[in-house]
Amino acid sequence: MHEYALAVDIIENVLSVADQNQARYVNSITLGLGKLTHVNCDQMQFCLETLIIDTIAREADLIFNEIYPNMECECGFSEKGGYFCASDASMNDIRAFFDLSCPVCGKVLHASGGRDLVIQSIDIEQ
Amino acid sequence: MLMHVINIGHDVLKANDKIAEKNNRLLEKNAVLAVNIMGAIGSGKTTLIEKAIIELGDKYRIAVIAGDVIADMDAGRIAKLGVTTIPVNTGRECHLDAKLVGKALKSIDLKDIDILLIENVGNLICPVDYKLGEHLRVVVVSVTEGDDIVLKHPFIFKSSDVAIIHKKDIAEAVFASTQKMEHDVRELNPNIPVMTTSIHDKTSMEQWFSTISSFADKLKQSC
Repeated sequence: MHEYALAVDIIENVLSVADQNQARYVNSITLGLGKLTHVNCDQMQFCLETLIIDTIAREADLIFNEIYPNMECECGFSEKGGYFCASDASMNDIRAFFDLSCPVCGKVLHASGGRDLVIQSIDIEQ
Repeated sequence: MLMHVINIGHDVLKANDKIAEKNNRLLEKNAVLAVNIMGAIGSGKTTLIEKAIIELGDKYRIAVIAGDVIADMDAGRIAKLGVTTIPVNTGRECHLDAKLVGKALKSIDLKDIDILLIENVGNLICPVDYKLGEHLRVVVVSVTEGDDIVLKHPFIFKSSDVAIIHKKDIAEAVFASTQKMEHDVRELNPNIPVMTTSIHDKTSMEQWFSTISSFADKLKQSC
């Protein structure tokens, strides 16, 4: 997909915040990655690793947190998408979130959220 | 040495959405209907745009933003029809984003147009995550991509308002079933109209034209 362009946005933002806080080094970058985006985690990691070379973030650990959509039903049932994944490895395929039935009434669940790509935090050394 | 954690919370995808909302406000202010036409490479996006301009050009003032990775062939084809056409080269990128569209909007006199047709880069994956500020998202696939193309790209059909299955006249030659494709779209998104079209079938093309015009009329009334 467009991991490179997104990685450029992320690193520009990280370096700008690091600079505003007089950072000498960035030790880690923590990102939240929505399960329903088309962003490929491995490609994102590769792009970020390439972009931090020659910056104060060159040694930074890249930490990815998965953000699950909320699975909701008309009947009022609501549960984080992660609830459905514990026993099912196929839930790594994003399409799986569209085929889930409500455990209460059996209707198809609607996925809400999980489309984030957020820079959650950075750990800096001043 | 002092170490500390800074919470940022900046969402790089939502940043695009904010610019898209700004584009949308600008378009609404000028009562311009914006249609984001997404679809596979070679599915017939440019031809559908050309036909719409020829058919609707007398009644509506139309402008086009034509997105391409590096070339401006599509923009050249459309400009021949005498409408304002802004070519947008995305460079490395496989989709248009709100920032590029916002920049292109600056070169169009929005007061002078009723409909803005935005031809996205040929791609069924990347445009999904990027809103542009449009009112109507149209996805175009054709039978030549194989009749499993819909199921292979569920997200774009889930996030679109209209689906077009194009080139139905050659379905048999490429062993594709338009019924299957139509059924797959309805399974993925039962709420959107699905059109099976061919430029040689006037009735099907009229469905396409009337979809655009009905949305344009509705917007004019509400603004």
